[in-house]
Amino acid sequence: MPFTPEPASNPANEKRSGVAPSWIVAAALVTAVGFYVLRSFEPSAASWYPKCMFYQGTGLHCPGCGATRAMRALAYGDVWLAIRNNALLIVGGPIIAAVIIRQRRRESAGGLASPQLCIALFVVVTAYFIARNVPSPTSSLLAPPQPHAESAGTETTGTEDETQPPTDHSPVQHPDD
Amino acid sequence: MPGQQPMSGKPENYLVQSILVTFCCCLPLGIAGIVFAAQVDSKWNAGDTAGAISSAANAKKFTLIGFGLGLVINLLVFGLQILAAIGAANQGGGF
Repeated sequence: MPFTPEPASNPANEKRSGVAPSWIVAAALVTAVGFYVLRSFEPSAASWYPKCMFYQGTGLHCPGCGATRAMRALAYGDVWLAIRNNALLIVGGPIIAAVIIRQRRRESAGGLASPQLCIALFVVVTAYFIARNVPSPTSSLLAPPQPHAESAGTETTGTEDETQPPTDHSPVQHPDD
Repeated sequence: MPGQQPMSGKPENYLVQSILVTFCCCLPLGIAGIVFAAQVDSKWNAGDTAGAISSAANAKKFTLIGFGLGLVINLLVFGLQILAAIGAANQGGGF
């Protein structure tokens, strides 16, 4: 079967795939920089990474909590740890993206809009949000693993350079800051 | 993404942006955005063009406010952390 190269710059082809080359370049750049930064610096309580304001304010995990740690785990190839840190992002993210892209294609082909899709997403995000904090933000299976849990069981983390003692190091959050 | 308006002319419902805002920690506004996205779609399907457009304006408002707020607060916190780190280094470190 002869190989027919895809004309990448063909406008018709571009329209069909719905993604402009500039977006692909941008995505590749973000991935490369993210990969480098995440492998170089560890997201921890003391790091300079942006932290979840919602978590810091309420002590509850929001749907996005653990996303940075999940991406770092992915950068180290530890898919299970990534899922443990944010299952909705790692497992649900690609599915959500695929469903939205499919719906957008349908609409541009003249199909109906889909409030059901929006409502389903609303339900999923809200349910995930609740489930991450039940029975408690520390013991929920969907919450990010606690860095200082007394025994992580068989869970070996992908952060082999992490040599923090299991003590409560809380000089990070002075209440009088 | 601009330039990707569906041919049917449905106003942008900001669903993707709302989800991104929800994930990037301005939670309540992001979820409100998803609800407005649902409104845009259902009104559009019902033939209520004006309603869909006004819901779309709301969706845009909430998503943009959520994004702006999240960005500003994150930058503020980031700045504070840098200052705190410098302060800690000056106090405890032997630099």
